Amino acid sequence: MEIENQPEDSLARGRRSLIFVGVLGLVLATMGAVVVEHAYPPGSLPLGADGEIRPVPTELLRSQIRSGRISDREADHWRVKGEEGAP
Amino acid sequence: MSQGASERAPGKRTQAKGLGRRKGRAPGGSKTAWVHCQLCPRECRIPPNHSGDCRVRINLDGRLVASTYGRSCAVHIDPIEKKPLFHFLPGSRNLSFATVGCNLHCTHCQNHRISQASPWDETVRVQSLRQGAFGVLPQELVALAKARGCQSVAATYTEPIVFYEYTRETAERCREAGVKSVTVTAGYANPGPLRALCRLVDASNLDIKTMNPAAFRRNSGGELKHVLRGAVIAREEDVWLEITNLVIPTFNDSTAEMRKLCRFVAKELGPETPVHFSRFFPNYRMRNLPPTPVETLARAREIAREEGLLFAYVGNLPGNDGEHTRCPGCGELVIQRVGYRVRSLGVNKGACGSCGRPLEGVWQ
Repeated sequence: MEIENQPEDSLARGRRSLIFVGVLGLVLATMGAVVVEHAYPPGSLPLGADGEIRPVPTELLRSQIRSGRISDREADHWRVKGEEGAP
Repeated sequence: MSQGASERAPGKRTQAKGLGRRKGRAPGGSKTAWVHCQLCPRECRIPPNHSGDCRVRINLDGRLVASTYGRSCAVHIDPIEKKPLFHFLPGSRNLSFATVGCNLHCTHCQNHRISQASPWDETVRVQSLRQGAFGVLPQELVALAKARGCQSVAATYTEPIVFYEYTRETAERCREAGVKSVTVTAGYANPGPLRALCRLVDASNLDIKTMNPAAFRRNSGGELKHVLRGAVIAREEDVWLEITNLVIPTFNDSTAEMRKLCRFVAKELGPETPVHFSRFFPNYRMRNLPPTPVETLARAREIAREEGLLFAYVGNLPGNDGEHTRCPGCGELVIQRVGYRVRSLGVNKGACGSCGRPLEGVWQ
């Protein structure tokens, strides 16, 4: 039995190794992409005069404003653009 | 310390004409309005619960919040020469402050840990608290400056434009208290807000990083024409202006580019405008380049002289002859410096102590 099962075990082990290598490759590729996004050369920097709009951690921000860590002071020089989804 | 609208300074609003600012929410009382920030040339259109490019101007429920108002991340006493300002109250102490954030993203930024940080960044906040910098309001900055014998207060280290309200109200309080106000900036702002700020500021050091628009776009993520326009506006508004140019090997150190910078300064800002050619050291994302050779800085000064500039200095090079001020009339040494320290001051009532020629600047 043990002898008969050996080729199947090694096949399963091979498949598992392949899956592991594949997943590892994907993880590394994702990490690589992140690293490349933030590294020099600055081709990935926001180019031109258009600003890079970033999401803010809303809950953290609101709790920090409530606790006085961040100002809720209204800024100057802005205007309302319209409803959600406006360009 | 919390800063609400009720604590707003009583000083006049400096709303620039024609900016079309509207307070409040979108029509219909929606809480999800986008806002259009018109402070700087980026003109960010910001959806709810997002920040503009500077990270600090945040659309919170259709209302643009200046999230770093009163939230300094650094407050220090520096010699005014460190800004650098060489023709503005030389040898005096200056109270410098900054908040996080910047609307440029220079790959060589010396202060990237704060300029590229976010206001909700706990690491920066904890460091700021440790230094006692966090939560200092404009009137407290001015009181601190007076208590510590500082003749001026400077918004510096990061970009004063992105904490505009804080900078402006500090300058207003300075004026009321007879303290001078200073900005150290890249001048990347829209003309209206910039003019309004310049009318409250006594002196400014403006950083022109390169004269090559493509290089500026690639390295800082902005348009050079706005920086040059900012310098001209500061000059027009009678701010005492000095220019800094960080000379970076292979990036902006060609003779042609240095000449272009000097010609711009001579023609648009005036030959009496001091120019500081600072030495670059590898930093942030620009670690692949060597420090600027001393000979390059000497060449920059020589080009400045050829183009008719009266005051060209070298920076980040303590002990170099290029740190001193010589009278353009008689050539005598009028201010001798070593690093940020003034060793001797031969200026008498704003004039050369030797030949009596009036020296351009703001003197004691």
